[in-house]
Amino acid sequence: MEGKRKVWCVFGIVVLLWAAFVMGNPGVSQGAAKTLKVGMIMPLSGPISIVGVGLTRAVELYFDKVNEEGGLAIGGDTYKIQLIAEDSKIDPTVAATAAKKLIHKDGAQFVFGSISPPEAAAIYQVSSKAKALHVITWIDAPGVPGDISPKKPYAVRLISTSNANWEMDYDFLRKTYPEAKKLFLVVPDVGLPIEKAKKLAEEKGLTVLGHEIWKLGVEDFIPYYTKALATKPDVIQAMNSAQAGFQLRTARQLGFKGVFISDSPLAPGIFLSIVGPEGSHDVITNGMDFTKATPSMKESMDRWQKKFKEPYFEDAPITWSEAEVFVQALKKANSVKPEKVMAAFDSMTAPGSFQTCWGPAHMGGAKSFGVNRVLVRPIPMTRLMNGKIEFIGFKMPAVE
Amino acid sequence: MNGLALGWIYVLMALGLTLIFGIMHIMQFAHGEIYMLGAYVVYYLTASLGLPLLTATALSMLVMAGVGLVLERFLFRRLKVDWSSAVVAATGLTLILQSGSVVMFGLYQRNIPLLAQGPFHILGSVVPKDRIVAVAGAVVLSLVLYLFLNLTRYGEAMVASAQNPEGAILQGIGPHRMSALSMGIGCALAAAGGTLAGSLFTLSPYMGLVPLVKGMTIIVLGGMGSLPGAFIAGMVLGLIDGLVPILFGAAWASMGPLILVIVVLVIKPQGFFGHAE
Amino acid sequence: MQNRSSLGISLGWALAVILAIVSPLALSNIYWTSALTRILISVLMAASLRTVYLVGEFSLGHVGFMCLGAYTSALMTLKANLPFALTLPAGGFLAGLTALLLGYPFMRVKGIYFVILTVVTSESLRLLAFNWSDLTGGTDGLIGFPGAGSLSIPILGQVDFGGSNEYYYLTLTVVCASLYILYCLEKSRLGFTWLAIRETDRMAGAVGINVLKYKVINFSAACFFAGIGGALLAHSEQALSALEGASFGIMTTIYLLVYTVVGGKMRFEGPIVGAVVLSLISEFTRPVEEYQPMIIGAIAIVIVMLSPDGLVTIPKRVGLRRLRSFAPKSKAAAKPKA
Repeated sequence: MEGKRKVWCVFGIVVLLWAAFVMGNPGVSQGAAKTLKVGMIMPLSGPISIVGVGLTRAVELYFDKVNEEGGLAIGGDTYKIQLIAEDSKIDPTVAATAAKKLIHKDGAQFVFGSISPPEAAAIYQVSSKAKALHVITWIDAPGVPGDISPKKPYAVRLISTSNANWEMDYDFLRKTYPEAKKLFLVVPDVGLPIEKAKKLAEEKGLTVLGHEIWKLGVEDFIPYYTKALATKPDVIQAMNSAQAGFQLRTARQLGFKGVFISDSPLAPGIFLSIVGPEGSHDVITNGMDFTKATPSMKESMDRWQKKFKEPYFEDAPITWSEAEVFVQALKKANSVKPEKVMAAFDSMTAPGSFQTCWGPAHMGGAKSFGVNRVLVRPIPMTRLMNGKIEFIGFKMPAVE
Repeated sequence: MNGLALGWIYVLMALGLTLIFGIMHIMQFAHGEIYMLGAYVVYYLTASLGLPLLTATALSMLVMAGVGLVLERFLFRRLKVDWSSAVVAATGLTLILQSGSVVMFGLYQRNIPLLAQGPFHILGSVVPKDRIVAVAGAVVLSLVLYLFLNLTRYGEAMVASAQNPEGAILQGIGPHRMSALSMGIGCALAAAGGTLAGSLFTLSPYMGLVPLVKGMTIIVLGGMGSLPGAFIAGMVLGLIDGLVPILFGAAWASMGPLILVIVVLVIKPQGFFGHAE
Repeated sequence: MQNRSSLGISLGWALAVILAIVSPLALSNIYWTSALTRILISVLMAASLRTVYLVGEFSLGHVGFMCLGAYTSALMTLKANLPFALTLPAGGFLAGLTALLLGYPFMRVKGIYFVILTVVTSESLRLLAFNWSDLTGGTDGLIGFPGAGSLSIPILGQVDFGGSNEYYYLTLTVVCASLYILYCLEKSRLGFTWLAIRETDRMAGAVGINVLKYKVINFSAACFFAGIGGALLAHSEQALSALEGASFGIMTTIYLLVYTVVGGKMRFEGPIVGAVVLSLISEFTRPVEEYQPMIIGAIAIVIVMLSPDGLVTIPKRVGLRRLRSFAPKSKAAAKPKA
C-alpha cells in the first residue's frame, strides 16, 4: 500500500515536470524588432548528417558575414540575422514538427530546407498555413511533390536540379571524346526525367544502350554495374548521386575503362580519395575545383576554417550562394515580409539580377514550371585525368 | 556471387553474437557498434599512422577485444541476472556509442584502403578482387575459430560451457573467464567484419545496425548456440537476399528473410541445428 | 491508510488528467500542442509495448506495426476517401490481424529468439512499405493525405480535427481510452492468465491453459494499439515516410524500449512515466541535439544498473530506506511509518 502512495509521488514529479514545461513557455515569442529569425531544417543526424550539417553551416557563415558587416538594412531598420537550425532526421513528420517549432515558437517567417522531397512537402504544409516563405534548398528531381509550383505562392527553389546539367555534360563529352558514343545510365529512383535524358543524348549523337534504376539506401552497386557493363558502353553516367565516387570505384573494380559522367555537385577531390589515382581518369563531374575558387567562395572557406574544426565541406558553396541570393532578395524587397520578398524574387528574372559566388544569376523556370521560382546560376565542370583535377569552367544550366 | 562476401561478413557477426549469447546468455545488441568502431580504428591506424591494412586490422581486432573485455567486466557482469535489463543496457550502449562516434569522428566520409584492385574473371562473370579477398578473410577467420573451439582446452570448455555452465567449472575455468573470453573473441570477430565491410563500402557511424539485424536473423535461422548452424544460415540468407530481388522484384526483397524465418520457425522452432530449450 | 493511498493515487491521476487537458490552452502555441500530441502517442506506444511484457516476452518490433497502422489509415483516407473515424480503428485492426497471423509461429519461440524475430519483422514491414512504391510512394513518402476531418459533436457543434488543438484532444481521448482498455485487460481474468504464463510457463500449460492461444491474444492486442498509435501519428502531421532513418526505424524501437524500461516495466504507470519524462528531456535538449541519443542511452544504463525496475519504483525504495532507518530497536515493533 505504501508503494502505491509513493507511486503517486512519482506522478507528482511527472506532473511538476509537465507544469514546468507549460509555464516555461508562455506562448509565441515576439520577434525582436532588430533580429530577423531564419529557420533551417536539415537532416542533422542520421546517415546524411554530413550533408545536412555542412549545408547548414554554410548558411550560418554567410549570415555571420552579413552581421559582421553591420547587419541588414531594411526599410530604416538594421536587422541582425539569426539562423535557427533544426533536425529533420530525413523524416517528414519530424520536419513538419521542426517547421512548427521554428514558425510558431521561434517566430521565424522564413524557413530553409530540406533535402528530400517528402520533407520539403511536409515543411510547406506547415509554412504555407502560416504564410511563411519556404526556401527549398535541395531537391532531387524537378516537379516532384515538394518542389515549387504555380499553386505554391510561398515557395522558391534556390538550386537547379541535376537534369539541367545534362546538356553541358553531353556537349563536353562530344567535344572531348568524339568516338565515345554508347551511353549507359545508372539512375536513382527519385523521379528524374530519364526519357528526356535519352532524347537529349540522341539529339547530341549519342546512343543510349539502356538504364538501371537503383533505390535509395543501396550500398552495393555491383549488380547494377554488372548489368551496365554487359552492354559494353563507352560512357556511363551516374545520375544525381552523392555516392558517385563509390559508383565509379565499383565500375573500375569491375574493369570499366571508359568515360564516367557524374552530374551531381560531388567534388572531384572526393572522387580522388575514394577511387585513388589509378581509377581517376576520364571522369566528368559537375563538382567544383577549389583551386579555382572565386573570391566569395574563398571567403566561405576562410570563415569555415576559422569557425569549425572539420575540413571544408565541398558542397558548402551551394547553400552559401542560396543565402547570398536570399539576402539580396530581401534588400530588393526592402522588407522582411514574406509576400514582399516573394514578389521581389518574381521580379528578378533578368540575367545578372543576383551576384553569387558562382557568378551572376537570376530566377527562371517559367517554361517548365509556370512560374520563375528556380534560381539559375552557373554550374562548375571539372574533369579528372590521371589523378589530376582539370577545371573546365562555369556554364549556365538548362533551366527554361 | 557478390552476395557471398556480404553473407560471410554477416556470418562473422553471427558467430560473435552466438558465442556471446551461448556463454553469457546476453544478447549483445551493441555488437553492431563494435563492428563500426573496429572499422574506425582501422581508419585511424591507416590514415594517421600509415600502417598497412593487415596490421591495422589485427590491431583493431585486439583493441576491440579489449573493449569487449572492459564491457563484460563492468557492464554485463552485473546484469546477468535479468536478461531484459541486459538488453536495455546494450541498447543504451548502442545509443551512446553511435552518437559518441558521430561527435568524435565528425561527419566526414572516411574510407579504408581497398583490399585489392581490379576485376577477377571467373566462370564468365566478373567479380572485383576485393570481394574475393573479403570472402577469403572471413573464411579464414571462421576456420581459425572452428579450430580454436575444437582443438584447444579453452575452446572446448567454451563449447561445453554453452551447453552446461557447471561443466566448464569442472574443467577448471571460471565462468567469468568464459564470459570474458567469449566477449573478447566475439568483439574481435565483429571488428574484423567491420573492417572488411568498411573496405568494400564506406565508413559511417550508422553502419552497424544492418549487420546486427542480419546477424541476429542468422542466429534465429541457424539455431542459437550452434556454430555450424550459423554458417549454413548465413549462406542461405545471402542467397535469399541475392535471389529474391531478381526473381520477385525489389518490393519483396525484404520479405524474403522474414518469410524464410517464419517457415523455419514453424517447422523447427530451434532453428536448423539448435537445441531444445 | 488504505483510503489515503487510494485517494492519493486518484488525486495524482486527476491532476495529470487536468494538466493534460489544460496545457494546450495555456500554451496556445501550435508547436507545443503538436509536441504534446507526439508525447501522448509515445505514451500509448510504450504502454502497449509493456503489455507484451505481461506474458514475459519483449517485443522490439512495435514500430513495424505502428508503420502498418499508419500507412493503412493514411492510404484509406487518401485512396478510399474513408473518414478518420473508420480508418483509425482499421489501422489498428490490420496491425492486430497481422500480429494474430504472425503470432502463431512467433509465440512458439521464446526469450531472445522472440526478440530477434520481432526486430526482423519490424524491419521487413518497414522495407515493404518503402519498396512498395506504387502503393506507398516509396522515396517520396505520402504527404498531404486527408487529416482527421470534421465531425459534428453535440454541444460543441462542428469540430474540425485538422486544427492543432482539436487534434490534440482527439489524440488525448483516444489514448486515454486505449490506456483504460489496456488497464482493464491487465486487471482482468485474461490479464491474470498472462501473468501466470509469464511466471511459470510450463506449469500454466500443465494446468490446462492453452499457453499459445493466450500469448497470441496478448500479442495481437498490443499490436492493435501500436497500429492505432501509428494511425494517430500519421494524421498528426499528414506526412509519412518509410525511409531508413525515419520514424519507423530501429532507433524508434530502441527509444520506446528505453522509455518503457526506464519508466518501469513492472507497473502499469511505468511506461507512461518513462515516455513523458524522457520525451520532455528530449524536448528540452533540442539545443544539444547531437548528444541526445547519448544522454538517453546514458540514462538507460544508469537506471538499469541502479534501479532495474524503473523510475516508478524509486519512491518505493526511498520509502523503504527511510523505513529501515526508523526501525525500532526493540521487538515490540511500532507500526511502519507512512
